[in-house]
Amino acid sequence: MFKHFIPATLFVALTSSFAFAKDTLYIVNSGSTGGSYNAQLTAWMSDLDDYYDVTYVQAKGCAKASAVINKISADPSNQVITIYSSAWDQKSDACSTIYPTEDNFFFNTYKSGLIFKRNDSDATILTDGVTIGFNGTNNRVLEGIDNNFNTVRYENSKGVTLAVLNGEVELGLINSASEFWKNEDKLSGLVMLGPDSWEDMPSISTIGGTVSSGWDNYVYWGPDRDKLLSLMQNIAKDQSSSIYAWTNKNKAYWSNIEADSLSSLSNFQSEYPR
Amino acid sequence: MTFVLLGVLAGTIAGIIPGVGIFVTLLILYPWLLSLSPIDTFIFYIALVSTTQYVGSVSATVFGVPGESSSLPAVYEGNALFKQGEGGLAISGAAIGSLLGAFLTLGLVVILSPFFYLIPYFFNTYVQAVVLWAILLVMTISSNKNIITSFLLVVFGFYLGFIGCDTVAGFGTCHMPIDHPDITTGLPMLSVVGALFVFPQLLKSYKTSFNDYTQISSSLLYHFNYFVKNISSAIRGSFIGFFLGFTPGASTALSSNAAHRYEVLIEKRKNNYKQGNYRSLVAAETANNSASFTTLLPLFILGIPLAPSEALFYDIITLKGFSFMKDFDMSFFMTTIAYNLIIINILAFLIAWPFAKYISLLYKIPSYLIRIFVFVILCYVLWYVGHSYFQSEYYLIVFFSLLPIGYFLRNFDTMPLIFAFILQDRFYMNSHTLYDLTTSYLQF
Repeated sequence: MFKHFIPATLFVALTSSFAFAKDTLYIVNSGSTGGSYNAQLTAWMSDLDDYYDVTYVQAKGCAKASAVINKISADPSNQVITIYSSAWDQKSDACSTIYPTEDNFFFNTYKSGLIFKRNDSDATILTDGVTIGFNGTNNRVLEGIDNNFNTVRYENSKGVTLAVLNGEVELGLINSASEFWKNEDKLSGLVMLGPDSWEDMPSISTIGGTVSSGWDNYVYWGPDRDKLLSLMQNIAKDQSSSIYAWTNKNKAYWSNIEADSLSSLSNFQSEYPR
Repeated sequence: MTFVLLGVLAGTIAGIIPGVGIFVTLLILYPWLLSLSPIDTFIFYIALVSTTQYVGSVSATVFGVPGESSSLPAVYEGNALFKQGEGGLAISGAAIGSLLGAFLTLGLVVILSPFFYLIPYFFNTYVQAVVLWAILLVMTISSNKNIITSFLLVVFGFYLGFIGCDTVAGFGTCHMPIDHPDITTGLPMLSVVGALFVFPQLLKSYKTSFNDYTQISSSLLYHFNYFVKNISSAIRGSFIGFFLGFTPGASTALSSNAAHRYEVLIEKRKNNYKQGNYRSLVAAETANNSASFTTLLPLFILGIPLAPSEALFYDIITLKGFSFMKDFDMSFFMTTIAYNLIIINILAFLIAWPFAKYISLLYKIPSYLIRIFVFVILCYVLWYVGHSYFQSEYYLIVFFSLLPIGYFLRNFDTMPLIFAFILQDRFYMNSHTLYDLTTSYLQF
């Protein structure tokens, strides 16, 4: 009996391992290891781990992410997702590979940054000569406001928030507000950078500033876009998922994962053309 | 507990074999460390770092070989004691002092921990600039006999760090000596550090003054009593190590040397000093161990690595999504670090004293075999890590291209170069912010 049983068991084990072999999915973190991109992409990695053999790759910045994705997507059977930030320079050649297009666009999330101050500060955006800390290219929202600003560039929104907290600058201007919400008890919001108000904070457009929404665009290369998107949509709704928990704790942050992808892409492209 | 034991084992090997310090050990184990959870990696790392400090003093005392740069006072005093036939006391004094230093430091950290949240507020752009440039200056002055050599190494380190496309702001501004897509990602840290820091270390030869192991006696009570009579040196060493440990970059070496010099001064005033001084050795080793812990605090609290091994550890643990400023707090410290540190220090203490005669047997392995092994493993790690970024050839090409320079620099201390290379983007961003702040202040 054993001479039949053992080969049969081996056969079943081998065939089932092939039957249940998971596809490989590359997730490329195009942000810093300590930032919000890493946080949400590691959440996705944990949620997708049951369905895919996930390989997580760190590639900070659009140039590095582009270089890595070029190599992965050279094999058309590979699947890869990453995030393209609206804060990047859309004209840069180094970023061009992963700029969202109809071919690679997956879905996006929309967030509104804000300008804020420390609770004990009297400074406002209209205070003459006010010092504003910012990161990336976010200072462009100040164009149109009739004031003399002193702007100080920091590495990231964490650096900006810290600079406001320690009094190095009077106001902070960030496009990713999670650091602000973490220190909500010590900081006060002044205006939102998006077109809409939030709680008692008006839009920057009300004081003549340039509206700027933050977009995190998920872009995808691979042969099975619809299957992955459908799976991610289900996971995003699952209250026990890591990405649900991450999304839920962020304020002024909206996911368009269920929205029509073409209109989401169009909204982004119209605000940030190449 | 598994990772405590593995960390202690790795620390024992790293501490006793010259050229195989914390950094090389992390590098060799890089692929394996990537497979661990953040907590396990943390535990392994602190076990590795702590044990290295203990064990480094054994090789320094018995063989006159500094396993770590911070063990130089142990070579000076401990090896002299060994030659005088007091090797057992030297080893026990260093081990007990290290244990005392670790526990005192842990106590001080717990007492001061409620104020840790204030550190990020204090650590503003100006303070960061002062710290960064001060360390660079100290390194430039102290690393090599000729300051110009160190200065040129720093310039070269900055240049290497500057290659690639800017990732700080995502602008995509590129500095490319050769137009190739891989270079947009910059030079891989592992390849540069492997070729210009690890390789020169492997080429250095250390002559061991072989001694018999019979001096490493195990009459515990006698040794404890002797230590207690000289405990004031250990307490002074602990405090010096605790505070100088916050000096990033060279904290353990600075602390052990400063505590040593201070104790030598005291002994000279009492006319008690001659080379092979027990109290000076104990002070240095206690300071060394205290500093090995406090040097990690800026990394834990601020997420700022200021030494190559810390940068590598930082790289490994953040790859797993761990954020120091977010995930590291007092409860994490107490449950993950403090509790394990006690166990680790007791284990390392046992290895560095009662079992010292057994670990000395590691020296029977020919050093050239160890160096070849390390080099081969290093090449494998570069290939493996490069592979995970789809750049295995690139990692190896950069490494082998820089090897001739590493060979040329084998008689120099390349730490300033590595420091400048690793922290180039931090220097760049800090200078940029400082310029903006100064300009806005002047306009105001």
